[in-house]
Amino acid sequence: MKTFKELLLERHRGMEPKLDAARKRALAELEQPEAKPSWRDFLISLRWHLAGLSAVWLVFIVLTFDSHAETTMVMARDKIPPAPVLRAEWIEKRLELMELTQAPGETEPAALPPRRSEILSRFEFV
Amino acid sequence: MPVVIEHEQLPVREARAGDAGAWNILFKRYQLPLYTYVFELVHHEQTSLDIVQECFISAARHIASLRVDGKFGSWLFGIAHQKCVQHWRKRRPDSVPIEEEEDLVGDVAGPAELLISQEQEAEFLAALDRLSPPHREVLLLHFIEEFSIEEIAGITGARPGTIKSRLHYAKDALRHLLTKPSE
Repeated sequence: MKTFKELLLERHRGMEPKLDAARKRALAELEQPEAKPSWRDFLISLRWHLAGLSAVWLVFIVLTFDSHAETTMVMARDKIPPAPVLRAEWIEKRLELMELTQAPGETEPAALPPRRSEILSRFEFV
Repeated sequence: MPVVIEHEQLPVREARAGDAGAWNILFKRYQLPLYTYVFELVHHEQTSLDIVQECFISAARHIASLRVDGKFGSWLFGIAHQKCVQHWRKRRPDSVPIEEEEDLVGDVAGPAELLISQEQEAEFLAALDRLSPPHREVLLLHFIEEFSIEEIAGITGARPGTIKSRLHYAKDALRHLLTKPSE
């Protein structure tokens, strides 16, 4: 009669040489210094995380700019005055511009009084 | 008969200090029970050897996570359990044999109660293989290393009630086989 434990362990006792070899391999591996991961390895291991984060930020920035532009357009549209007012302003500005760009003396003022000599000669003819 | 060193005599403290000789003693003590446990779960020789070797390396690298030196055995089997689960996940992700079941109140006698005659051996081992992996695992841990219900719960991550229920069911199935009159 055997106990459960004896039966099971005896069933696998033939594996002892292979288990000894596995144990020695494990001990040999433990004697080697564990390779310390470099910064480069660390960043490479995080490449997918970094790419994902960059994509999220990109989407966020694009959405922010888009909504900004839309708001600006709406605000600008709200501030545009009606067409007649615009036309009157445009004419006024144009006149101002013409006045500013014309050289002095280019046009004579319409209501200037005649010269004194001209007035006298007129009387003489009469 | 295998030489069984009591937990208190195991050089866990020396192993913590990085003593290679201490690790050799610990590995030698557990290599066959650990292999038996792993093999009876994965049923593949090379995979079992690889898992045992990985367990040894993991144990040495993560010995700092072992809180109580006296629990080295259950801690090591916990690592082996995790490796088996990883192996099952790699093979078939949807078939990890971890399941919860209703807790049954059952008596759980000591590990030495099952005695198997020579004629029953083959039948007994076949019956063991027919048990579901969770039931087989609990039975193996209970009989090979005589772990308590709480220790098995710690190794497998299941609740103590579930472990008790599984053990009760598995032992009933085997007892039924052993008490059956031979034909």
